[in-house]
Amino acid sequence: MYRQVEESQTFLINTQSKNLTAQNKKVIKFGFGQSPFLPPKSVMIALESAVHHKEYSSVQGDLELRENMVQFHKAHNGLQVAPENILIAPGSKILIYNILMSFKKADVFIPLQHGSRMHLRQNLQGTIS
Amino acid sequence: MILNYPGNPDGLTYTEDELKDIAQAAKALNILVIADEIYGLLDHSHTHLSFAN
Repeated sequence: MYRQVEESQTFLINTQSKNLTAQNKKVIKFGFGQSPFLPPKSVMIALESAVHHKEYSSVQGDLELRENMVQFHKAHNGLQVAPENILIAPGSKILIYNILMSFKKADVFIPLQHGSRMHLRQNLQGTIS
Repeated sequence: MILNYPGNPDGLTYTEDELKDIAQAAKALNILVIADEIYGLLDHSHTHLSFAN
């Protein structure tokens, strides 16, 4: 089943700011969450050294990474989380989407302070009422 | 209920008292809370409190 999906506000802002930049106007961008900085050098080196790993990795996330996340949450949030209760994903958007997908129907409350893509997530799921 | 704090790009966030109020209401009404705190480390006042606490 297809559902009409609204244009992403983030992409709209990005397109409009690009147009203004093309007109030689100074634009300070807050639309795209894309860092102008390079990743830390240690991360880039680690990525380069892992490029030969072509096998599928764990769907839940490598155990070593999940165990490091356990330490992270303990140190930063004071939380005790078991590694088997951690799911690694490329960003929180897909995780929230997966949670919403697990409900056939639900009332969704989102306080005003939220990212611009939250409504898109709701529309994709169609659970808002 | 989906909580997304601190917000991007303005960094708006909730105080401990506000989070407690939300938690109390969510518990009373049996509401599942999804907290997206990906920018928690960017709270410049270093007072970010995870909802799970």
